[in-house]
Amino acid sequence: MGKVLRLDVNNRDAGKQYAVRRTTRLPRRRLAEISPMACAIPGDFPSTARRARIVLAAWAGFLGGSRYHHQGRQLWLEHSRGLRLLQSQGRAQAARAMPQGRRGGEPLIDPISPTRNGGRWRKDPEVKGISITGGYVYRGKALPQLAGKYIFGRLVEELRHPDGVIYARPRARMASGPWTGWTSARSRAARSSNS
Amino acid sequence: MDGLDVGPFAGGAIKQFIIAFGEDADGELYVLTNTSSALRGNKGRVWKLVAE
Repeated sequence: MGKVLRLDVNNRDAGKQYAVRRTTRLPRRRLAEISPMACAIPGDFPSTARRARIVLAAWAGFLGGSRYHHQGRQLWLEHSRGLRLLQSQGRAQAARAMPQGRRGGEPLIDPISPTRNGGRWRKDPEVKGISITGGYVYRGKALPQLAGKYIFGRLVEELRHPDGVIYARPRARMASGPWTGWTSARSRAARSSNS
Repeated sequence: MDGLDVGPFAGGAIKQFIIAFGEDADGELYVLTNTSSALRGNKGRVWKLVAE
């Protein structure tokens, strides 16, 4: 299970350029810090403070267990217990069984981007790569065709080759979940700098 | 599920590992990539999504 650290950029722990908030569940010890990339669940997510609540509720990239992917399960924006409850007992019972207060008692959230994971089941025609790289809702002006869409990526299609893919997810309601459909739009990625 | 066409990379496949996304104060987006799936090497790149 991945962890989310609450970093305090206004203070510093010894030897660090920042502090780890004491409300973080992860033990405060060496090697306790986990970058978003190393988290199995969730993946990357935006951290802009002005919409932090929306980010945590709706935009965290979530990587389910490979077993669930193999069964054609979807990716859910909840922690692992919620995921298993949803799959085995249904939404209503899962909502009742979820510990209150862990996320403020909010209801479970439907997936925004259900996809099948690759890995050993890459021959499945519905598989779309391996590992979601969480992105942002586009709020810029340079690409109006992307306005309001969630831009994210796959780390890679197959681990043997560096072939990650960028996706744009439109915002549209559907009966079984809050998001539907995929889009493709012309844009150009211009390299701005080398790291 | 179709990828986002980006310049010469049809279908959004940019021939690198997509490590992270970034956003600036104007809401414009950046894509951070590497030729390795791990945090090593010096071939990482930062791309900006701009109009064609």
